[in-house]
Amino acid sequence: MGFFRSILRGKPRRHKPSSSPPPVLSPASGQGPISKDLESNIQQLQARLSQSPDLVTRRFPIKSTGERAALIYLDSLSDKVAVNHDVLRPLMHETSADPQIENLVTVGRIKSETGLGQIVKDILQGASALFIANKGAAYIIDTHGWPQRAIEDPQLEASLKGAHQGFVETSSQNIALIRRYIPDRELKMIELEVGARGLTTVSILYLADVAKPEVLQELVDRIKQIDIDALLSSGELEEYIEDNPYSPFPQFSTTERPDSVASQILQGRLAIVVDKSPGVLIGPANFAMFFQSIDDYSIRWQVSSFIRLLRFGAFFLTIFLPSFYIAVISYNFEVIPLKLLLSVGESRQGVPFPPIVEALIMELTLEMLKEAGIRLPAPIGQTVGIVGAIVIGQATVQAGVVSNIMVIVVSLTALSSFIIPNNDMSAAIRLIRFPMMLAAFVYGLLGVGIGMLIVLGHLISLESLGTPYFSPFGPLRFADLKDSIIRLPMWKMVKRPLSSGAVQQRKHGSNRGGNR
Amino acid sequence: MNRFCQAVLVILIALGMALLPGCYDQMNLEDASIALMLGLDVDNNGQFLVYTQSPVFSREAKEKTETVMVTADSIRLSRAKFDAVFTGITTGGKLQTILIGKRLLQKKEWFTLFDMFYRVPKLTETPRAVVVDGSVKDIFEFKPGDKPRLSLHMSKLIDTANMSDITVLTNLQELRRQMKEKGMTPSLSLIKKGKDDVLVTGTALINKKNTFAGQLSLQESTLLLILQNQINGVPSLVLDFGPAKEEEDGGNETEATVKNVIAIDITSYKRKVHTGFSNGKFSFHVDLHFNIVITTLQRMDSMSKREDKPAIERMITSALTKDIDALISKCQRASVDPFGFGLYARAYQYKSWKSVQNEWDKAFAEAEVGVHVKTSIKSFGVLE
Repeated sequence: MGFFRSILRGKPRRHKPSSSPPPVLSPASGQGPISKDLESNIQQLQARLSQSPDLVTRRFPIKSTGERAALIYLDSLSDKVAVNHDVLRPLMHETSADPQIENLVTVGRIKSETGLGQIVKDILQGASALFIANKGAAYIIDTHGWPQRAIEDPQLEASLKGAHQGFVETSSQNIALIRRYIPDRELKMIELEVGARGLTTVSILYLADVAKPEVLQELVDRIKQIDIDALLSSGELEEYIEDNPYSPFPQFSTTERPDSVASQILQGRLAIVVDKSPGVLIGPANFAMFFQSIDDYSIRWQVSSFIRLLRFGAFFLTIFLPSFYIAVISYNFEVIPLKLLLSVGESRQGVPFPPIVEALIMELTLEMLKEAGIRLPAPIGQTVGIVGAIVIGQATVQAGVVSNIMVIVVSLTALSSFIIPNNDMSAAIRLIRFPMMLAAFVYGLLGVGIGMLIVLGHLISLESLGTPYFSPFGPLRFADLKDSIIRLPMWKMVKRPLSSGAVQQRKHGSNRGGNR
Repeated sequence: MNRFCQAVLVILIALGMALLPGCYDQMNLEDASIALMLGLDVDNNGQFLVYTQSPVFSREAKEKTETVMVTADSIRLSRAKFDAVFTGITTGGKLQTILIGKRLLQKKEWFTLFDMFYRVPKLTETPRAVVVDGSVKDIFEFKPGDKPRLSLHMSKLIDTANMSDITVLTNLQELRRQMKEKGMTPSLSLIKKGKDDVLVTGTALINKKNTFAGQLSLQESTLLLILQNQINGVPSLVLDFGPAKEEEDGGNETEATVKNVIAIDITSYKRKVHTGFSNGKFSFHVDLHFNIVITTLQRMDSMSKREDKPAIERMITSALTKDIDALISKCQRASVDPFGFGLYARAYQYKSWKSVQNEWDKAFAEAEVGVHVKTSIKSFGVLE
């Protein structure tokens, strides 16, 4: 029954400490120091990286010393300008009084490496290896340069007043974007490598004097215990480290906005930057976080509070409106006001299906339309809208397949699920409404009530990195309510939220006479 | 994997068990025949008649409501007969109006017919109880062309009539209170089928023996609501100061078409009841203080000046006192207390009340009720 218990109680997933991980085939296997013989080194390396036409081996004499040398790099992963101008040119053409290689090569990152496995690993990540005859070590020169995207407006999280820079697929760039917001020496970083084959760099960013050390340790432990082939995106990482893998609710917040990440780090949370992925994970997350948007803090606080209320209202509407409709139509129609009841009755006349079938048809159509709209290329995507408008809006009603009221219910559900700013949360609640509809069909309003209690109980039991997920509502934390279903002015929020577990509570001074 | 299979199995079993007890009370809207109006009457042979009317949701149907009349021994029994006729299953959860024939009110124990409404939780307590002066059948057969669905029209008619203070609004819950209350007698809205319409004619009074005891006109109903302290908004009263004589061209005096009338709006009023007991009789002194606005001074042009204010106030006071006194003595003659004076007797003269509590109707008929009216005119209108 562990499965059940973990679904209902949100038991954190325990990673068994793997004492001896089974050996996974990787380029790093078969360790050994390199020899002093240049040609044998080159042969060994080429054997390791066979069938790689983009592997370049450039043999040349070093001008300053006259030693024979070879530069080996992967053409596709290297910055050719750096290789040609900063490595090859000074080595081949310049004479220097100081024959040290480090002083000849005009590249910042350079290190000496003896293990062949590590050299292969570095080459595969875009470095150039410089072998010199009769030396038992190779120089690893950082010349990486891979295809990357320019920094653009984040497409999934549009903002009216926020910054227009979004994360890209290179973690160094992403970290740079975050550092621009927090040029503080306490902004620390832990770098871990995940995936035996993929070798994805995962960096945890946090404020050392603010973030709770226990939470950080828990996160590091969980990431270290991951034993997989390759990590392709931050969403995959989330699945490996979240507390309750059976919950439909997201337990880390994913964002591609550096300003959101900076704001969360400043509140004492941890940001997980995954290389090759533009989504940055933020933990420990709580329920209210998924209803916040960075724009909330740059518009008037009254407007922002109103929008927050709207979003929480939309949360309930999305989950309960279709089920409420079903329950009321098929069990408890006494609760509808008479006038509405008559128009519902008139609208439902001639509909050949029971309410549950009617609702399922429409809600599933809506989900299909949404999915079709996401995957289709933009020029074809417009057609989906037209089909949706005609199919959902008109034809089904005119054909008498569904009632007008059902169309209103579906459109309201769709609308309210779309105003939830976080896509993961929006998807979660859209999914939950289907079991709710079944409960409503079987038990009427009683079923809706039971469903509501189950969802509530689950939310209260859920944890994110060992901190309560449903904070500030359960456990009730009055101080944190300032930035939950409403948003008070910034100068009122003197302290960091309790839900982040920040050890340094005070955020700023009493501006404008804010309390304390 | 084994654990996973086990979990799936458990979920399936749980779902199956969850589904078993479900659906038993399911009733889709389209399967229901929602009775909006119920009529209760007695025919010439003393047979109990039940009428019901419910909306029909169908594009093909010409008539948008269906009406059925059955003879039955109880309301519950009539349901089976309704189900035999109606497309759907009859439900009373949305009942708006219950029409009670005046003839039924003359039967003893008619109120026990309503027992079901207070017992079955799915039935509603809020339908308006209305007495029909005449045959209930006439109203159910009435198909007005210029009105919405009759059942909606009826409930709206009673509500708005109560809003303009020309009749009481007694729903089933309130009816039960008034029936069971020792210190008062029930009052119900009274309607009548006119030639091409249904009209509110005032208030029906029911005595302690639960039978029809008389009726009040529209204006009397307003005064009743004032005495009950149940006024909604601003009630209007029209005070008639006798027929005006008019000299025709020929010199003959005839009754004028345009009468001596003062119409007033009562913008606010205060009511205070003093309860006493002496010489084996209860005595009630009702102080009423009206703040009024003159809305019409018909044929009284000579008095429309500000200096005439005390004179007009005196006229209105005496007219109101006379009307209220007449209303109270009318009720005392019929041995009914729709005002609820008995509640005051119980509150302030409990010892004396205790001995007469089961014959309050008789005690009230002998009681001394005095009304002291004070009026102050707040405005003569926007003329000045």
